[in-house]
Amino acid sequence: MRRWGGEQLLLALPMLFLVVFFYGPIANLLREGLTKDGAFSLEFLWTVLTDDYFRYVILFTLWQALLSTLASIALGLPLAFILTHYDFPLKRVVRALTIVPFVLPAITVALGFALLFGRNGYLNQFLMNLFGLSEPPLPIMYSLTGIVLAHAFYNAPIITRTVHAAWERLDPRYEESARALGASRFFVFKDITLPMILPGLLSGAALVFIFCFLSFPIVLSVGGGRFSTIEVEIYTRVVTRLDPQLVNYKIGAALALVGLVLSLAVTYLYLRLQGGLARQTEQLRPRSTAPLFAGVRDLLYPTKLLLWLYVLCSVILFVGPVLAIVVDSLREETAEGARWTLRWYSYIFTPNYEALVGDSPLRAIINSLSFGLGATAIAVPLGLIFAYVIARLRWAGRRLFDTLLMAPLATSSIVLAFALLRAFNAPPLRLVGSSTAVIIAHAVIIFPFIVRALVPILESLDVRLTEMARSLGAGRFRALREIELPLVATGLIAGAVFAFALSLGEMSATLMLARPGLSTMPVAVYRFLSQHSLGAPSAMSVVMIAVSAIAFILLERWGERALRF
Amino acid sequence: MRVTVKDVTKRFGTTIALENVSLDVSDGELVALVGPSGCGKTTLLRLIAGFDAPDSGDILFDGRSMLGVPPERRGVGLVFQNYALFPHMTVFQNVAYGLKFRPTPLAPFPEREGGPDFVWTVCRAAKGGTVSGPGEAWRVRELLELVGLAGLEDRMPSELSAGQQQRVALARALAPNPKVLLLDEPLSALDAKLRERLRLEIKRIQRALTITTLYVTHDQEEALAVADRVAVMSIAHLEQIGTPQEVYNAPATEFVARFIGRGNILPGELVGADAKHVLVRPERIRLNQSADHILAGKIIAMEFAGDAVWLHVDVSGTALIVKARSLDQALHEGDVVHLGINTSDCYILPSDRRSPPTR
Amino acid sequence: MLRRAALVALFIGLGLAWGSSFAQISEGSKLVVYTYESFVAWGPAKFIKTEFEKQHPGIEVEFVATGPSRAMFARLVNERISGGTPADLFLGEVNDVPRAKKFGLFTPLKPEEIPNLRSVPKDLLLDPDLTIVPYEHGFITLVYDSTKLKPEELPKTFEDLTKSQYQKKLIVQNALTSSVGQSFLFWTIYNYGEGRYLDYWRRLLPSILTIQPGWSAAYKLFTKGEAPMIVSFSTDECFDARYKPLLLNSQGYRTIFGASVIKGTDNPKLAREFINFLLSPEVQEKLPDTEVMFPANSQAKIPDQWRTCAVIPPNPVIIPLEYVAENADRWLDEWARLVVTGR
Repeated sequence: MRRWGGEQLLLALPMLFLVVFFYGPIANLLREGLTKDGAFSLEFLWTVLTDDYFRYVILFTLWQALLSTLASIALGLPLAFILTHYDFPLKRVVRALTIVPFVLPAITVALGFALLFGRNGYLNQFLMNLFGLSEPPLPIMYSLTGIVLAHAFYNAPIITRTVHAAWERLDPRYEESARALGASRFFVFKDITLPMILPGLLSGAALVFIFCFLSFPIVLSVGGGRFSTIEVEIYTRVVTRLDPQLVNYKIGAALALVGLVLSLAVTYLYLRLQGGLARQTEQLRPRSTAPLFAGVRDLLYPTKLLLWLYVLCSVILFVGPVLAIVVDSLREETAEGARWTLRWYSYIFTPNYEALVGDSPLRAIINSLSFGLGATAIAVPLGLIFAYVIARLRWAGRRLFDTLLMAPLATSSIVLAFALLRAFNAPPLRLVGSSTAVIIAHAVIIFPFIVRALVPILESLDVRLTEMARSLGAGRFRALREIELPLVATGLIAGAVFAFALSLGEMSATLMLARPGLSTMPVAVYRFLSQHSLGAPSAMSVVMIAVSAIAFILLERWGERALRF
Repeated sequence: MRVTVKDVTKRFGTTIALENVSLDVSDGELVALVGPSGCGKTTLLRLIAGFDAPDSGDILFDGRSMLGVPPERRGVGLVFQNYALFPHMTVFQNVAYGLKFRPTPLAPFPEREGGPDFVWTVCRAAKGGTVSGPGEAWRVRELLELVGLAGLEDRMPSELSAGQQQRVALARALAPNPKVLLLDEPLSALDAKLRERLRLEIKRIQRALTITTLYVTHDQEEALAVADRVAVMSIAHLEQIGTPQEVYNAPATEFVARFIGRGNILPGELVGADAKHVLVRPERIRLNQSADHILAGKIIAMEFAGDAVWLHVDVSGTALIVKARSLDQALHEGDVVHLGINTSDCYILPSDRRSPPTR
Repeated sequence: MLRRAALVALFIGLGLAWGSSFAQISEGSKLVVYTYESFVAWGPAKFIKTEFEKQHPGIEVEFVATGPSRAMFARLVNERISGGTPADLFLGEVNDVPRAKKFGLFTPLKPEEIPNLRSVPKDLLLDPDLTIVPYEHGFITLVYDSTKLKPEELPKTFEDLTKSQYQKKLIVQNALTSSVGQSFLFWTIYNYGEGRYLDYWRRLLPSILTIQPGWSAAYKLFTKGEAPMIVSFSTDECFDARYKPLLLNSQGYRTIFGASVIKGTDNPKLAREFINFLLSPEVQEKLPDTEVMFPANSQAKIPDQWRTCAVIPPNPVIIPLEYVAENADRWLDEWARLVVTGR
């Protein structure tokens, strides 16, 4: 009896949390798309699925997500190769920093892209001066190319991280055997390495696809109004085009339903692929690495030259926009021309904006970090319990349960924000405007990443270890705490860092739920953008980049130290 | 193909993996590279295969330097301890993989056993796309017959036993007709019985193909059993290279004497030799028989080994090991025995050329 | 085992408690004002809050501005249908008002309840029911970068703008997400009529570099030299002398911002006092500098420099609100279809 009570309760608590704070609110919102005048109706769903315009939008959503995923693979894969095979100074820092794009608000990225790739951007200016052109040669901004590149900016690091992890686990002797059999590097990659890291690559790609599928601020800003995706439609219909008959609202909800079904389908695929990944053999030999830069002679080898070309391109794409923001935050346009200034920094740190949001940037930093920590503190036990249930208990419908569990990942932030706004506005949970609401929203958004980081590790963990501990007299939970937890600590920390990053970067829900005094860093960036003070959002973005970069480097260090116990 | 390793030194960071190692393997010879784990034998193998480059020295195949030649162009066959069979390919595809890059002369297309049906079977097995025609399919069949696994073409590596995996790995390495075969602890993951059987088989195949082979193992018994010549390594150094008899009977250093076989290393004065140390193999010691020198001692432990008994005898504080035929006489722990040693059975160990390796 | 479960519960509880320690919900003597983000970001909100609280001790004014005018409006509706809104007042753009009236969100006011309304010109009072009280207004025009375009190169009419010489020279805002963008769309409908405005847009599209989601983002791109023309306000020159208004067809499209009292507010009197305060000269005189808009109160003094930099177009135009209410949704749909699919 005792045993029964404990286990049920252990699962019931987090389930209750999700039902109250996620499934309930989302179902409540989606229901709008399936009712008319209070009665069940498929009218809006039918409209969405049959109308030419919506079909165009749905197809474009899938198309741009596919292109963005391919671009992310093209840009993320070589970096994974470099991280796996080469040594270079600050390698660990670079690895930690690959997560930074994640926290950047879309408005910052859009601005950075415009400054770098715009018609009057640094890159086009440079090329025009270099070749004496009169028109900008690279029409990257305000096009599908821009959308795809911006998505790659955000998501290539996901590919890098998942592939790098799979590649490091891959026993180098497979590749060496193939080479000894006469396969050149290319054939080794094509025949051996690629098939073996493919599950990792595809599961990363599925995740990227979902993110690109759901992204809307990038489409709106970098692409511009000539592009529309499912999420953009939901946003405009639910947030900016309310009509008295609530038709737009209901169409938005129907679209959200379609979007959710599509992204859940991809999620299901992603989970299947990740399941395949877990079965891979553990590595026996550490990989040998070579210095990335072995001397100027490198430039004579075509492969190395290609590698350096990639490094150049990725520096332009990944570092360029950030650098452009930094420069922008230090520039001031005056009647006499542009000049260097620290004005914007002193501007954002002068508490001149008390009334507007009740927030100083310092407050925003503290809020961001506290919300991030608070949400991670909720998400970790939540994710741990679910991961354990999925990895250890065999039961029918396990995969379906897992997919539904990932639904927050497959739900766009704007839908979630609106659903939570509605839920938190009703009496039993009147939480709107409290930090509790923000933290809960963040926890719901981020916990799937903890689950995802843990399940494969728990699955590949040798069950005999736990059995051994239990035969030695340790209870089930004691074995979990003393044997399994330390062994999954790497994954737990990686997942927690990722979750924390996601919380730092979250804007839609925060903006919707927070009141004065609760602004986070991205919200502050957003605020400053709606002012006439042109450099301030850039300055705030730089502050945000710096704070999160430091946080990630420290977390990674601390994580590694924590593992050495 | 003659493989020459010339004054090779290799460092990893601050640790020296190989220091001035030279080795010459003649065409068609099987040399076993033996030594304790971590002594650098695998490193040497990887240098020969081309996965790492030596810091100094040279590696030559038939007198031609291999430095700068990538592994895929060295024409070596390689078998790892864990076999590294490609888990996503069938047995057939694994064995056929190397044929893609080093086309072997097509085997004649005789009306062999199986006939057209068989050709069809192997072609079907080949539909992974790795093999282009029946010539290669015959070659795979030939190799699998050689290692005794014909018929398992369609299996995945995970469906094979460890011994079968090992044979597939060998077949895969041999398929493209390598000029040098490198085996890295090929049998150490198998049980003792299988190990003994397979090492004979490897030797049989090596003889049949007369392929220059370097066989890395930490098991000195295995090395003595398979090799034409044995190269003994201590940490980063090559101690001695010679026939199994040479390294057993006439070890060049105390390290070799201790590492190869069981032996008693006695202070010279004990047997009246004019040397610091002498080696007496356990089977050379006569039990309770007359000899040049007689030492009295007490049996402190016995190991029964079927056809023989190993006796650990305490001779005034020095432990000696003696191999006695098990039927000789009734012996018990605590018995006092007399050990007879002939001067001709004492091998005088050369004083070390250098200070003994530090561990 | 129960102990472990309790531990997890504690963990979650702690996380929540952490959050709650930041919470500061205290209703009651609070006046909650929903408004668009720029009103608080660089508008007069701080001044209003300070002064109004000084005049009404014990009262706290809270501005909630989580998006542009229309997003706040949607939030209001969403809260209304899901359990009630904490808002007492709404400040926003008038084009959204007709819809709000249909939702029954705002309380109609009587002119005598707002004494300062006497000084507001009649042409600003677009709503006869007075559910919205205008407090500032301005004109949507094109604005050009005088360092990039010479006066003789400027387009003079809507038709000029479609010429190939202006290819990719104009930044506009998304009519679906931005009030400015919506006003520009209405302006073209005003000039071309129901029948031909889509055709005009079809011809205009090549001249448009990008359709940005909001005015701020668009203006940032404009100042960074991405294109020499933008849809903006006739008063922009007051902010930066390089950027000058450009009147197409000698027109400017009126944009009016007004305040409304939310139906069901627990503080109707205080809300009316707030609107009256908003119309008082002391607040109104802040508007040119903070909002870069014309004050609604004709008694309010306008800064001297505004006489030269703030342009009042010869022909201010606006589509009547009832007409907007009838058709806006269809227009937006048609427009979106055109710009997205090109058909």
